[in-house]
Amino acid sequence: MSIEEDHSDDIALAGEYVLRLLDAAACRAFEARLADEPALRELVRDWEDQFAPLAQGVAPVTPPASVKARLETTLFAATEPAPRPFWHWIAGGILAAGLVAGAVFLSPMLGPQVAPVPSFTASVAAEDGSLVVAASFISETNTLQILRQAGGALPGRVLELWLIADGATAPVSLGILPEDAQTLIALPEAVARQIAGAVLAISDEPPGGSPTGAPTGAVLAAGPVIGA
Amino acid sequence: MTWLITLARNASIDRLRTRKAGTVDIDEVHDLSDSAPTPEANAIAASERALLQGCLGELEADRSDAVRRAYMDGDSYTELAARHDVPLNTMRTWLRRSLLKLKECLSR
Repeated sequence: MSIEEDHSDDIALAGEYVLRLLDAAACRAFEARLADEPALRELVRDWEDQFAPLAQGVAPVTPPASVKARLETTLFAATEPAPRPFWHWIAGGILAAGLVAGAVFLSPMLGPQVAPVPSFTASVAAEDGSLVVAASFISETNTLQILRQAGGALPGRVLELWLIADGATAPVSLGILPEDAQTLIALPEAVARQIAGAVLAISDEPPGGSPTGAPTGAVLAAGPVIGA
Repeated sequence: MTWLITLARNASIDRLRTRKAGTVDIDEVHDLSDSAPTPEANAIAASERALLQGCLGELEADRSDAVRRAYMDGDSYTELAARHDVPLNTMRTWLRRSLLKLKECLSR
């Protein structure tokens, strides 16, 4: 097969993928290729962009008020004085305090450093508590401390963390959460500037993370970023 | 907006296929609401839509219908083949060729 034929084969294949016409095995094989072929990811993005105008022909449906209420509960549960999320939050606080205390006691050995104090925190939690991740942002170092307190990735899947900046139209990937419950994520300066007022969310993705640069799987947990 | 449409569409197809009911109207599962785009965004969207409609119009009627149904209704190859009363492989060939023609037209 010539390079040209290969390319048109991929154009059609990417189109079938976007239309969700591939069977499960072909879909998995395609997603595996997406992970290391940027050109293929671009074909997928192009098709998504090019087909999206069709959706404008769909008559708008005003969702019932209950949908908004459920959505707000899912997204902002941690800020409401509901008992469970509140205790989750306190537990996260105590844990964070423990970490800070540990850092303070250890720091004399490491030199005259002051333990970092988070400037923002977020409790990224599923509505049913099946996944709870505490995040603290240290502005001095532009790092996000992640502590997974409950739940984890589904078998053969990964958890990907996203930042949805205040007023942003698309989420920005902050990376895949490792299997370790505790991790540090260094944020690029441009992303770090958007942390205030943002929402952090975790989605279910194939190994290697979202192949498209936008969440592709279910949003498992979300929580607003709060000034500490 | 595209990522939101893609996400909503993927989620809708997942729900449709889990229910295994090929007859649910997309309007009943699509909670797409318009978040008041700016006039500029509207103009861009309208011209992109006109381009796509024009290119779909260049395909034979039954083929562009198949592409539309795959996108809008999440029809599978099996459903499309049954609707147009052609073998599965014929439908696959139709659709892949239509996609290539469509891409050629869109990138003109």
